[in-house]
Formats: sequence, structure tokens, C-alpha cells
Amino acid sequence: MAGNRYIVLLKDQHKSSIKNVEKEFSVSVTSSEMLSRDKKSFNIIDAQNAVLYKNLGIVVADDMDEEQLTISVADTASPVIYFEKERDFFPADENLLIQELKTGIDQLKSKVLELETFIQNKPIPQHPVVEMAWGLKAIGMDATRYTGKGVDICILDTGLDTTHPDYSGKTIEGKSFIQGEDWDKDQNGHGTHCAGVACGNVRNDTGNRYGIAAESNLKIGKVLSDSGKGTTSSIIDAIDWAITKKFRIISMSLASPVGINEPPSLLFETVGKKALENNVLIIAAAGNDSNRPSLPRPVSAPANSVSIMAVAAIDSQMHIARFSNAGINAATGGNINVCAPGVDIVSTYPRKNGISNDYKVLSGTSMATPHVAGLAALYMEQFPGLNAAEIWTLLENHAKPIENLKYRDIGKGLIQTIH
Amino acid sequence: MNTYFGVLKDGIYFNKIKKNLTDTGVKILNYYPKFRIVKFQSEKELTVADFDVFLSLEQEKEDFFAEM
Repeated sequence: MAGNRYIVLLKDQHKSSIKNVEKEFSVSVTSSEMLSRDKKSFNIIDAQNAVLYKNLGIVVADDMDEEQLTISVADTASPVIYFEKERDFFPADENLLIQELKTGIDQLKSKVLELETFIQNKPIPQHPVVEMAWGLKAIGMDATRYTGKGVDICILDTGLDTTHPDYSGKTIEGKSFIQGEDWDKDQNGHGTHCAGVACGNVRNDTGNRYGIAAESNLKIGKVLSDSGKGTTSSIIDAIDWAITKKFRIISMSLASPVGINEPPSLLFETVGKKALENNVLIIAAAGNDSNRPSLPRPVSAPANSVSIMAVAAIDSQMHIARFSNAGINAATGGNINVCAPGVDIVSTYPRKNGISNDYKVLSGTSMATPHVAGLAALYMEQFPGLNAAEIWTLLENHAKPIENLKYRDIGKGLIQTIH
Repeated sequence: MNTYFGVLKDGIYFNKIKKNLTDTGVKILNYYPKFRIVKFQSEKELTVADFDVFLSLEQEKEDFFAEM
């Protein structure tokens, strides 16, 4: 036998193809049909004579021009589609196997060493270097690099304690819609807490992260009095102001209870619709009137308007919060759109009697709402070409359903970062 | 005095109905052009049926609360 024998796979066995092979490789091809007891293939195959195995569609010949074979495979007009050198097969030999294993182990050792060196020298992984509040982890904040940079988030609430250390040095714009009360003070504390969830960063004592859109622009509208109460006028005036200012997101952790089968307010429906037309997304708390499991109550106003995003609250065990309202007036509008963390939420709080530090843990759909506002700001940074309505759709489409929880209670599910 | 918010019907323009509204005895407090909403006061108890220019009429609510 010659030095190298080649197995050549043909596209077809047409006469013209066989002639091509004969011409390209200067061989004479004998069909396997011509083989017999007296005329065996090994007696035929050499550098000038090849055998075509009809059943397999392969030609076998010795010492073929490998460069020409490679060109033929690449040439779609050639009948040759693949070739390889004939391989040697040996009977299993125990000593040979052991020798091969030893060689394999040596090769593996060098690969392990290479991997070890790579792991020791690779850059620091992008894992968060700070601990996060449970709510932030639940929405995937540990997997995003976005911070809501440059996005204006307007918190309509009880105001903001601008003397709080986490806000000192920040440029914050605001306006009060409550007569005789300033937007930059917060005797109640609720507004300062909500602002922290949406736009805060890390605690100044432990370094743990509690806020979502740390590089967003915080805007404050005081629409609830220091006692935590507001009117239609204060809210409509503030939304009008926020739209005029072109703030992208309005977060309203406030609600007015509605009755069973009570239709949504056409007033707020009109306002929400106009806000979306002006590229402003309004997000509102679903309300805390329920006493679950026996007594879920309908989504409150203004969250029950279909043009305003309604937010339910869940706890860290992925249960619906006892107090969180539900979409039980869905026939007239008033369903839940998404849910967010709203139980045992830590955030900024004014230093008042009984508070020994700058933070407090609160629960409510109020706390869930700024989670959505903060995440919307991250989306707006991540997808700058999308308008408010498209951001709404994205929030819903990327929300995760929660096992055993109903659409009525959590809408499309728990909001999530996109990465 | 009661405060009301009226959402104007399509094709109704505030400047054209302002005088008529005032003539009915209501006091106009504000007009929100972006929303096409008129805020006004009246001593009477009013409903949307009392006007032919509003799509809806809602009385001011004072029960919006911080939800915690």
C-alpha cells in the first residue's frame, strides 16, 4: 500500500461527476459493482486507480493531491464534498491504553494549570460591593449597571427633608401645592421615604444600598399636607406643573378609596392620558385598604385609571401584602398593572422624636410605587429612544409572574431590571 | 362652596364657553389647557347633566392619603 490513502465523499454518482474526479485527480475509477472474489479492492487501489463504493458514494484512492482535494471541496461545481485520510484502527491493548491515559493526564494537568492561572489573574467580577435592601435584590438591581442618570423623577407626596444627609449637596427642584407648607420640609416623613426608594443611593451608616435610580434628578411636589392628606386640586395642579416641566416620571404614593364597581374618575383618566401623550409616565399606589386574605378591596383612585400605572405590594417571601388592593373592579377599569416590594422597606426618614438614625422601615403600596418609578428611570436611561407608553409596556413585559399569585393581585408580576 | 372639575367635550373651547359658565353663577378658578379641564366653584350641588359642555363633572375630593 502507498503512503496515504484517501476517502473522498461525492455529492452524487453521475457519470459526469465520476469523469470530473478522474480528470481532476488523474485516476481511473472502478465501480464497486465490478469487484469480485478474484478482483478485490486492495488489488485495484493505487495512485492511478480508485474504487467507487456505490452504496456509500465514496471514492478511495492512494496518494491523492491533498491541496487539490481541498480546492475541490470549496468549489461548489466540483462533485467532491468531503475527504479525509484513511485512519488506522488497532486492537485494544491494555498497556497502550494506560500509556495513552498517562499522556491524557499530563495534557489535562497543563490545562488545569492554565485555568488556575487565568482565574487568579482575571479582573474583579462585577458583583455589587455593597449589600442591598431585599426589595432591590428582588427586582434584579444586583445585575444592572444603570442608575437612571439624567432622568427626572417627580415624587408627589408630603415633601422632602432636604436637611437629610443623603440629600444635602444635591440640587433638588420642588414646589408646594399645600398652602402654608414648604416642599423642602417633611414633617410627615412619608415623602422623604418614597423619594429615597426611587432616587436614593446607599446608607450613610452601614453603606447598604436602599435606593434605585441614584443618579436620577429628584423633583418634589408637595401635594399631601404634613398630616398626610391631599385634595384633587393639589394633585391636578402638581401633575400640570410636572408635565410643564417635562419631568419624565411622576410617582404618587397616595390613594383615595373607591367602592366595589365604582368606575374610575374620568378626570384622572384624562390627566393620565394627556401625561402619556406628553411623554410622562404616571405611577400610583394601588392602595392599602385590604385586609387579606378575607377582604381584598378594589384599586383606589387615581391608580384605577387605565392611563395610570397601578402598583401592588409584595413581601420578601413573595406573598401579596396583607393590605394591598386588588383588581376586583376590573370590568370598569382598575386592575393592577405590576407589583413591587412593599413590606419592610428601608429608606430615608427625617430625624424626629423616636428615630435614632436617618432611616426607617415602612410598609405600604406607597413603598412599592417608587420601586417602579426608580426602575422606569433605569429603563429610560437604558432605552433613551422609547417614549413613556413604551416604557410602561416594557415594565409590564419584563415583570415576572409569581407562583400561586393571581393576575388580579399582582398584574403582570414583579418588575425586573433588564440585562 | 363646592369645587368641581369638568372635562370639556371634544369640540368645545374654553374661551367660547367661559362667559356662559360664569353667567350660570359659577366662579371659574382655573383652566388647565393641557387637560381641557375647568375648575370652578358653585354654591349649588351640580351634576354633569346640568351642563352640555362637559364630558364629566367631579367634585373635589379631600380624601387622598399617604398609603402606608
